[in-house]
Amino acid sequence: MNEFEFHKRLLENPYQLSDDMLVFLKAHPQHQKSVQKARDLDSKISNALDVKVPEGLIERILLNQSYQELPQNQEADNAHQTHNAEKAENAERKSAGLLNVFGLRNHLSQSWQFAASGMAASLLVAVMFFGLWQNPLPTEPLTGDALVAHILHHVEEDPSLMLPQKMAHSPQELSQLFAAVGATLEGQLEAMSYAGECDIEGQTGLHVVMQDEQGPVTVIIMPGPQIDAMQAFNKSGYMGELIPVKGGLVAIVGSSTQQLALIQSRFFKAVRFG
Amino acid sequence: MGENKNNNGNNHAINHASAFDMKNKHRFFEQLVSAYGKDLYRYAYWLCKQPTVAEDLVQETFTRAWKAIDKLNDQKAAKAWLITILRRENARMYEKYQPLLIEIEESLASDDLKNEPSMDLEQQQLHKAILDLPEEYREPMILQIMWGFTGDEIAQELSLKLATVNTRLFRARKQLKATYAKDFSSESNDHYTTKGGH
Repeated sequence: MNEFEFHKRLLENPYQLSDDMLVFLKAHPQHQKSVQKARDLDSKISNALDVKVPEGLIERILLNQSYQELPQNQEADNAHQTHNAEKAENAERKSAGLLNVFGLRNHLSQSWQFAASGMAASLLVAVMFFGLWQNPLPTEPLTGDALVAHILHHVEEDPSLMLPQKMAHSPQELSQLFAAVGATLEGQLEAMSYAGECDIEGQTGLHVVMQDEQGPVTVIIMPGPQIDAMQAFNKSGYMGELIPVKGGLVAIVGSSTQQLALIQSRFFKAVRFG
Repeated sequence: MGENKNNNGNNHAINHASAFDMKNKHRFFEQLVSAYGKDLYRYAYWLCKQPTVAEDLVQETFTRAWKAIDKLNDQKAAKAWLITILRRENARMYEKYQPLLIEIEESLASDDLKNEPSMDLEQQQLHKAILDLPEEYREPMILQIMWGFTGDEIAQELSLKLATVNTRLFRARKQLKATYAKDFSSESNDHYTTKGGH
């Protein structure tokens, strides 16, 4: 091996020194500096390639995947692929734009910390479901602000609901609770620790608490108006999203975008609408 | 490879699901997204040079990956599989929107550098130098440095001969060295100049 070949191979891969390169280095130790400089440059290239990733990207990918799995999207996709691919793209663009709010720092409000006190993990996610089943449409749409305010109020009323506890209901009773708000519980909703009726703005809903490794998860299922497209909101340190489903909508409220995406995915795996 | 970011840690994080029931399928998909999503975005960025297009590419890649996930058998294949999907999507998008993308490309690339105050001048210089590399040089280098691909793996992914891959890796680093590393061995610089490189 000559010097030219050595440097050529070095620039092909500074970290892969073949036997003949090592022999050359041993005979010409002054070229060890070249190896180090080549590796230094590679280190700088590696750092330069490490461009900043848009915040919330992973969550948006997971969100998009779970949104694609919603029943009405699956049926439409089977029937009219082209048309609904466009619809999905539009919704995705809207959600991607709206979900830019996930770039904001999240923190727990004082009152929320009070509600979650005593918990090992402080993440809280609330999932609310709105449906048009038993109650007439409210005169005004229920906004994210009102929902978040209600969740906070609701949890503060009885923080013990957040605690891990054995489910008081049988599977049949749980199915009935979900059916009462127009949802179908398919199999087990993972780590559910509480389920019970709740009242939100005069509407009867279902309050569910799920325990997971990152902390308790609050699910509130409640009647309300439908929305045309997914919406995101950021209020009082919470981030959330409203997702339209057949017969109503689902709202997810939490403190991290990762939690939102994961809980949404797991929720829709176990609960069906329409 | 010492500086390879996409090390075996990512691979170990992905559990092989031998039976693709729905629960495993979802979990496996989540693991894929968590393990490879960010690097796929970075790769997409260096292919198309535009952050918004890069995100669209990644979204589309994972949409297609989800639909075809039953066909994926092992964790080692996942990385190459996703990269292949992304490259195809990039090619498809480029064919469809070529005139518009070329027009936007340069202005957005320069805007990106201006909007990154955390990037010092040295990094900006190298960032631009990488952007200025011909794609045929840039892509093998990224597959090697970012993804840890061997020469043979790069050759397979890009449908090239190994010798061609090595030549392009050499030329990529040589070009970056000439642009950025002023203090690189002057002896080797002279050698390349007089010999005319490869």
